[in-house]
Amino acid sequence: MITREEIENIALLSKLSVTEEETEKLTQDLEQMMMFADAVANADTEDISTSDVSDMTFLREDEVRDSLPLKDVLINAQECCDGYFVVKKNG
Amino acid sequence: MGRIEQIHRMLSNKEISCRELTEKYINAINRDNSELRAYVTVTEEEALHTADKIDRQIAYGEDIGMLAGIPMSLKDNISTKDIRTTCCSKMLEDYTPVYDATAWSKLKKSGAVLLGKTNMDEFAMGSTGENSCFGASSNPYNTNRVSGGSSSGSAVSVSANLAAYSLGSDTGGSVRQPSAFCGGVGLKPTFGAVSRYGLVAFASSLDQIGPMASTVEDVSLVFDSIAGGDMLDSTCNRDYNPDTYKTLRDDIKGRTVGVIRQFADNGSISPEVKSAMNEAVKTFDSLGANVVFVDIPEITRSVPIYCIISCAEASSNLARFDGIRYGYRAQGDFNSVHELICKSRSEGFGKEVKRRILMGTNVLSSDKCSYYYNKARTLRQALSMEFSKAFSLCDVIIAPTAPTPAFAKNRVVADPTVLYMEDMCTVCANLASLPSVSIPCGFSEEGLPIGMQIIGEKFSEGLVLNMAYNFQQATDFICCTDWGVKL
Repeated sequence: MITREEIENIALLSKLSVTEEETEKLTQDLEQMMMFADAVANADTEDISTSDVSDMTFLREDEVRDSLPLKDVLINAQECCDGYFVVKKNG
Repeated sequence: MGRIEQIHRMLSNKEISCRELTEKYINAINRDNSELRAYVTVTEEEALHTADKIDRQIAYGEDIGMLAGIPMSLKDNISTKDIRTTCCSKMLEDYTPVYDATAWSKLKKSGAVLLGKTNMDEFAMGSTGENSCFGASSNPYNTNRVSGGSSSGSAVSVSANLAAYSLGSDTGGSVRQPSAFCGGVGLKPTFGAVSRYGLVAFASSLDQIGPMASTVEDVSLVFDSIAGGDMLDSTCNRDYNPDTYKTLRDDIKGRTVGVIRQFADNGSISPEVKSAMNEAVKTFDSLGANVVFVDIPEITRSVPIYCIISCAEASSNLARFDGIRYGYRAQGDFNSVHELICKSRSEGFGKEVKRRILMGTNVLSSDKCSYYYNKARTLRQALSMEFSKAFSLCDVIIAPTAPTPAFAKNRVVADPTVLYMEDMCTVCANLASLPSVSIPCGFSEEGLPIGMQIIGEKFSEGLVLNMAYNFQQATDFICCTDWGVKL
């Protein structure tokens, strides 16, 4: 059973705000999804090797290169000023 | 002959100019798109600009490559510089990338004529095409049926002759399943075969960009063009330079095809799909291939494994959408930045996206992580090893692409996991990082296409497409609808 408190905590961690109406349906949905996922939680994985094989791990040379121009970085922001993204002042 | 080669010959022989050809496609889109909703952005001006450039090259007697002047489409999660890229989400409705995805950039260099960006399930999360903020696309074979998803518009654009080919993306089946539902051919390459740079990330260990078209030849040509190393994607194989087109027509006599016993015995797969698969086995037999059963026991848990891993990776990838640097920003007075971000995300994301983010956050939370996420990764390894073992008995493995043909729109389900099971046949290839192509293998009694997957070992796209080509040549299931352009 997923409690209301748990949903609120998960929503907080996910940076999502959930309305009263949404909470009930989301709780139900999440419960069903977790029950579905229980097929994994209940599996016996004792005898399976857990080596995380990565076939390709390429690292590039640590060279300085040009990044995006500042004007491109800001072009999709709803609010910007003097080369900065604008948010409400904290405190 | 594939559509690409057909158009290439028409252009090279000056039977039609690239501008006239492009205008034909644009006119067809203007006529058919309101009903089919394949496209969410049509790039008429850019398309004609490229077409004129190709016409000038032809006029100067320059040799144009096979992909030059070919009208095509791109799924709307593939970044296109200066052309809006929305992922069919309110969150990115007004977002315009400042760079091109590598895969698109390669096709652009080859002279591809981009007709527009196609419809999709929001952030690639869905299997019907109905999770789009712009409204669902429709199946060209029957507009009351879903087109499949998440590369819904891409599949529709190809099947409805509104593009010669498209690029989609596949995380759990999103290139293959809509291809199957709409009668086309769709390839999900090996993880690492095609750069993911510029593909808006859903699940970074599962996502791949893949070509979609009506013939295997077309898919092969496009794949060869987009595959290969990329400095901007460290998971991309630098040493892979495929030429699948060269070996497409090789004889397949003596090859061994594996059939997954767990699907053959599975009650969720419809009798029509099973019957089409049985006929497919007979076709491979007639082509001189041997057929054997293979066992992949872990496949019965593949959807829950996929659900955990993909949601976990999605919750991490979608954390970047905060409305501050780009994307939807909630209006109003907020007490804090945190509140602004929460509001922006909650108003910008659709229901399915929010569900999956919450699921992902939950399975990654400290008290649950080892039971869900870590175990899912272990079982994923087990699945991969079972496939490796199976490939010691066969060259390729075949499986249905979807458990049923395209179903009716607006199916009401109280339990979201019911829809996740639509991916039961496709997620295994993503989890095991294997290449898989879906090709048409029959029709249902209602005239709806049925698709079959051919799955190969890592980086064996050459063999996978070779088997697919021979199958397509031996059968008569090439996509054919009355929509769009007739050449």
